[in-house]
Amino acid sequence: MQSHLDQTFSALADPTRRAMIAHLSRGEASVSELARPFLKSMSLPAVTKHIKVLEKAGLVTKTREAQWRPCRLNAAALRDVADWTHQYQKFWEESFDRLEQYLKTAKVKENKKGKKHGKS
Amino acid sequence: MEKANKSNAISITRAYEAPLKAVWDAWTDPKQIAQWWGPRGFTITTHSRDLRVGGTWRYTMHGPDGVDYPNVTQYLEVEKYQKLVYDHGGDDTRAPMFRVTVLFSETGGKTKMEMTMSLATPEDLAEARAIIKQAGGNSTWDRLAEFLEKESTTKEIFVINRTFEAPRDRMFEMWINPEHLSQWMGPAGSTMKLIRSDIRKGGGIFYSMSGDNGTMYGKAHYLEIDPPHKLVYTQHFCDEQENVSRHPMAPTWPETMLTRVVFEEESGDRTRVTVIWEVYGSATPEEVATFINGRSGMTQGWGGSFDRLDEYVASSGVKVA
Repeated sequence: MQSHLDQTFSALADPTRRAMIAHLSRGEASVSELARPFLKSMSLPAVTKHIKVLEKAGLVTKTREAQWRPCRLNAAALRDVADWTHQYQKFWEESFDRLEQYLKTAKVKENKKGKKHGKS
Repeated sequence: MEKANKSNAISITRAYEAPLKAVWDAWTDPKQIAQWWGPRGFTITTHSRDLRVGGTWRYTMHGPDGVDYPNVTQYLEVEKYQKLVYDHGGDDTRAPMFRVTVLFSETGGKTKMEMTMSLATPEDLAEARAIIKQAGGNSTWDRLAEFLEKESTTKEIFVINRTFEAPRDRMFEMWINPEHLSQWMGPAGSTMKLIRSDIRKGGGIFYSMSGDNGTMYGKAHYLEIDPPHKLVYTQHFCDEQENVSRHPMAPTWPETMLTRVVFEEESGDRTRVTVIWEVYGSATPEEVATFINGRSGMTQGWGGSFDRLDEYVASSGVKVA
């Protein structure tokens, strides 16, 4: 998981790739659509390489449905990053969820123990 | 924080460490309300506000994911420093989603806020509860506490709370008995191990927390234990040898945090547990900024996340492919 996050982070650490993510956050796009804004400053193979990095990090998937295989943002991978950035809200929400569950199981145990005191 | 007194109503009671006037102003001054209204991560734009009987408040809530939600509130009762009644969520084409009654009262410099949200039917109530939970709607009342604290002391705090179905003594026990504490503290899928534990005033714990992102070590030092009311401790990350360290993913996270946990009784043997977090000791402006950014969660959108990401990548030496 750690290495997976590292890969996600390093993929996102590049401004070109972030611009691509921003583009895809508005909907899926073909490789050429995604490449267009960058072709003034870099070659198509260079752009394609950036897309490959995003794919490898699991941030972008190419759908199989259409013949032109558009690129699509993988929301789950981005969510991992988001989770990390607001993790202390998450930390307490999830701790409280666990505490609620734990109170239920601990209660069952104590009720069993408490039976000899007359309450059934 | 929340209980159903009728099958189609939600009741929320909160006490704020602020005088009544401050709480009323926070609710009624558009400039102030913009700073806390809505779930964590949301911002609002007020289009018009007419705080009087029959008047409306039209505003747009901007979600952390960039989605806008238009809102209309119509005031039915406005009694300064005492009471507000309003219908929420209706517009020209649809009926209001629910009616809210808010009662304000002050005791000893603290302000009690009692809200009741009424819905048309129990089914509507169930749906509203689901929507509120999904959007993190209850964090609005935590944000109000944070806002009031900032207004009165300029201190930045993080507030979160929940009401549990258990008596107060038992809830307190969950926090100070190491056997219980390690069973639930930490996010889903994590495991807390207490390596050393001495939970008493002046004592402390040394623990590890393992989860998806690896194993972290931390220490807490108890400053105040007042059963079953209050618990105060400081906390910092450390390495396996208990040396103070930084979180590898958040190098500018403040070195020491102060946690206050307040236990309050609610009706029906319930207990509201409030956790208040603040930066402790001398912290750099950068550390305080990290704390504030983290609190607002997704408010910064991807921009904020990416800034922290850059920081992380720069400091951790991850090679950019």
